[in-house]
Amino acid sequence: MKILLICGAGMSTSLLVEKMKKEGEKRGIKDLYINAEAADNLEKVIDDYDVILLGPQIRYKEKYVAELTKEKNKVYRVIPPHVYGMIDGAKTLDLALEALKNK
Amino acid sequence: MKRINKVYNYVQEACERQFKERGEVIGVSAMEVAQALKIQRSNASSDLNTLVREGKLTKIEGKPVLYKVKELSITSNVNPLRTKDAFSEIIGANLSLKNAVQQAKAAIIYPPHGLHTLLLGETGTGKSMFAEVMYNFAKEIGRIKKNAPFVTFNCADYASNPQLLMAHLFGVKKGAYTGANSDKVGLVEKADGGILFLDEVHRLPPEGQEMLFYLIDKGLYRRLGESDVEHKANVLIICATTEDIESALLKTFIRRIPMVIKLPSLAERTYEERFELIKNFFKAEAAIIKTDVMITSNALKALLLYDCPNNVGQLKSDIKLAIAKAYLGYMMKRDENVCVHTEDLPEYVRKGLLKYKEKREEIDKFITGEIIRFSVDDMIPIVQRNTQIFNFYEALEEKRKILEQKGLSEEDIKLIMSIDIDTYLKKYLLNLDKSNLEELYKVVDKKVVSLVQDFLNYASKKLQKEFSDKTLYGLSMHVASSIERILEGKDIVNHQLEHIKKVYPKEFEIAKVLKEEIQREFNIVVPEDEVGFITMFLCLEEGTEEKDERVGIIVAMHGEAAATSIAEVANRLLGENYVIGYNMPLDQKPEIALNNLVNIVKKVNKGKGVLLLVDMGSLVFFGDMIYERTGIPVKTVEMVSTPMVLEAARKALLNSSLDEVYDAVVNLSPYVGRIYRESVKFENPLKKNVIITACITGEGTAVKLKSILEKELNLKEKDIDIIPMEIESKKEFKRKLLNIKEEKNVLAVVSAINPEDESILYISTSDVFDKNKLSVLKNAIEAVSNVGLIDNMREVIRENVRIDAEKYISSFKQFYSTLIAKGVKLNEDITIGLILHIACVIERIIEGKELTHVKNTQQYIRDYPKEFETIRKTVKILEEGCDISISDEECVNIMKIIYSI
Repeated sequence: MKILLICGAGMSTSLLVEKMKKEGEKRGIKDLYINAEAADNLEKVIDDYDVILLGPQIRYKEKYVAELTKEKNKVYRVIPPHVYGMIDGAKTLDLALEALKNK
Repeated sequence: MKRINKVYNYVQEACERQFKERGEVIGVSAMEVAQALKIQRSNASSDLNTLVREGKLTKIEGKPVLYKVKELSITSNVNPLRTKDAFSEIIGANLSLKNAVQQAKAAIIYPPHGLHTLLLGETGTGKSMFAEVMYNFAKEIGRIKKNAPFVTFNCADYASNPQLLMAHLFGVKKGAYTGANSDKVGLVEKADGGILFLDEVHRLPPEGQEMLFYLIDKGLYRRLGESDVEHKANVLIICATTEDIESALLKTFIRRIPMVIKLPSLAERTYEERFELIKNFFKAEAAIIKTDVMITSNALKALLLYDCPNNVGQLKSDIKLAIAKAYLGYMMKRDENVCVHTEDLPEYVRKGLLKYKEKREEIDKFITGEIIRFSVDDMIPIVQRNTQIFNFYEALEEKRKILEQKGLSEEDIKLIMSIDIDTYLKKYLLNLDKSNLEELYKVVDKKVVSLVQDFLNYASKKLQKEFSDKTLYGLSMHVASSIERILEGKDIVNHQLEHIKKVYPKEFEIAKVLKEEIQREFNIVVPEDEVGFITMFLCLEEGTEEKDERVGIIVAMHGEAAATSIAEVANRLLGENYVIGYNMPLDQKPEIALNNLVNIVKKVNKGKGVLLLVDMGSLVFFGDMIYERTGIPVKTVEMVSTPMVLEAARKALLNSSLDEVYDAVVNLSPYVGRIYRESVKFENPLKKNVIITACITGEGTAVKLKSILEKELNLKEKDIDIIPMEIESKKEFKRKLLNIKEEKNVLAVVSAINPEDESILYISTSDVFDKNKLSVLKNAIEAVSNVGLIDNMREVIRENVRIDAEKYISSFKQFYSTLIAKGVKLNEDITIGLILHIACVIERIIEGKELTHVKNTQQYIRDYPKEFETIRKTVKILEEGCDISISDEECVNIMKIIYSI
């Protein structure tokens, strides 16, 4: 399972990536690949991932992301601000898993 | 004659005799009949019972059993005039008016034509009514013919035009003056053979007096313009005046008028009479509205005891008004019946209760229950429920109870109570009237008064401040009730104690002196909370009272004529052109209406402020805007109705203060009342972040503002509460704010008054209706509310990013508020992203790691020059705060996040 987090510069999401990886290990999920990218790079890398998660600060790009993911047959979610703000790895991972399940 | 007929005749005669002698029929027993007719008692009894069965007699059960004829046959046989006359209808004819009635009868009966009479009495003692009764009596005894005239003239009517007055009174000969085109009959001539009643005779000009005396002495008069002819008139003159009998004019009158009758003032009459009068007026009203009217015991006490300088006339109109209010309460479902409560009575009537302690023995016999009912038929006292006299502590406890029922936390109750105490105390003190100072000794123990007096003298020296009689009065009453409370073992709680100690340390120290004195004198322990209350009395500034200025009343409504027609009705009913109506056509722009109203308010204001009664919509908010522009205090009442306007104008004409007028009207209106209640109904305890809406025009407006803001700003989601508040002055406002700030984080104040507190965002009331300005408010509130959010992120940063979180958060806050101040919009999403992003940037810079690169940095700088400049400049705060340097490229990154590029 490959998860991509995007935000403005891919930096703040990288904090979350670390947390999610730890949470994945804790739960014993195998084949977990998580990465953070700047939103500008999304088109370039989207093919490598199954789920796209957006930081709330780039919610304004949601429409663009929605179209792109549909075209590429991927799923996406916007991370709720309180989850994002708390850098809550567990909840973000749950969000990604839920998105995949409902694909 | 058969025995049974003899028995019937005897009973009939006995009953008639009883009626003549006692005015009522008691009946006779079988024993009396037996003795009088010399027959067996058993026979008499049997005949009597037969007559009862035949329906000729009525049986009255008891011991002994009595028999009487059916009343119909009696009254038809007896002339009621033999026992009753016109005067017996007058209340008190056998009590305080007994003398006057005897004099009046003598004046009428005196041969051959009766005596001219002068009636003396204060306004409202019933002089006109009395004169009319004299006329009826004269007809009854045949002194004048049944169709004899009764002509009334008020000498004040033409007092400014003596010639017209003379013409009216004595008639005019054709050509007497320009415009006298024909002979005109005067009132004297019209009254020939009857009675001429001259009211306010002291207003009769000298010429008139001379002619009147001539008429009195000789029975002759001349028309205006006549010199050779004299007319004869057989007129009985009754004059009336309110003047002192010692005045010069009246001395000449008394020489010529043989009979002087003085009618007693209401105060000189007995409580029995006063009660009868009250009963009578209530029954009369009950008959008019066709339903029973009740009164609470306290309201009845007040009516029996209050100072009523304008006598019976005033008593009557005060009762009429009270019943009108009670009727309104009944219509609006406050009560199930028409019941007069103390709050339906004007303040000066309520003050009558102060005398209750002293007079209770004299009036308690009239108080036959908690609620007394006056029906058209008779009076049935019913005990229903308890009502209470206003008491400072009880008012506070009541409020507390309400708040507790709303489920507020102890802390919030304390906060609200501490704000309220001030207001209550002020109202309590302002309601006192200096003229009642003498009453003080009657309600409060002299020991307490002298204790307080000495204390205030001492405090006055220490504080270099004068205390008015009102403070003496208020504090004395307060101390008296405190002592009572302490003796009864009840609590004294002052929610403002800590605040008082801090803000008024000097006064607090001085207040302790009175505490010591009370403890010593009454041998009780006075708690510190009470010292707090005493301190508050020392710190209360009295509102400057302007004398003889009235509150202006303006009605403003939508539509072409609604406002002016309500104003006209009120003016007509009050007989004074006082209320001003302003019609706002539906297509008129609010700004134009506002401008017009500002001008009207300026004109109407006489220094006491203006009450604005409006129907709905934008008009509701004009009050505060007008205040903002003119500085004239304006209070607004919405959902205007005619009774409200009437009450407002009535109050204003009595020189009441703006607050009094406002309160009186608000009490009438169920709508405003509803809003007021909602204002204290917080579903949950108050949140930490609050916005305050404060209006000088009344809490109703503040609550309205609250609901608008809540909707516009989505406050429920943001964990921000709004506290609506009624304020009176800037000073008071600041004090209240200080209070709230101790407990809550005040984000912003929406008000016409700028509290000038730099830590609080101030928004003028009128800005709320300006879409652009409202969005500034929106951003500002969003921003301020995010400050809390930023604080919450401190821990997250500390745990996840290797930087000095403390330093970072504090410089980020500065960075953030500077952006807001520059008009940058930052919502919660962006703020969170930004905090995390910049934290990462700083961490990487410090650790020498690589940052995210932006393609075409220069392109972005060129495309968004203004935005870039703003960010570049503001980022300096972060650079300095965290001791780093941030590149242009990274600034573009931050800019992209902030502006969602």
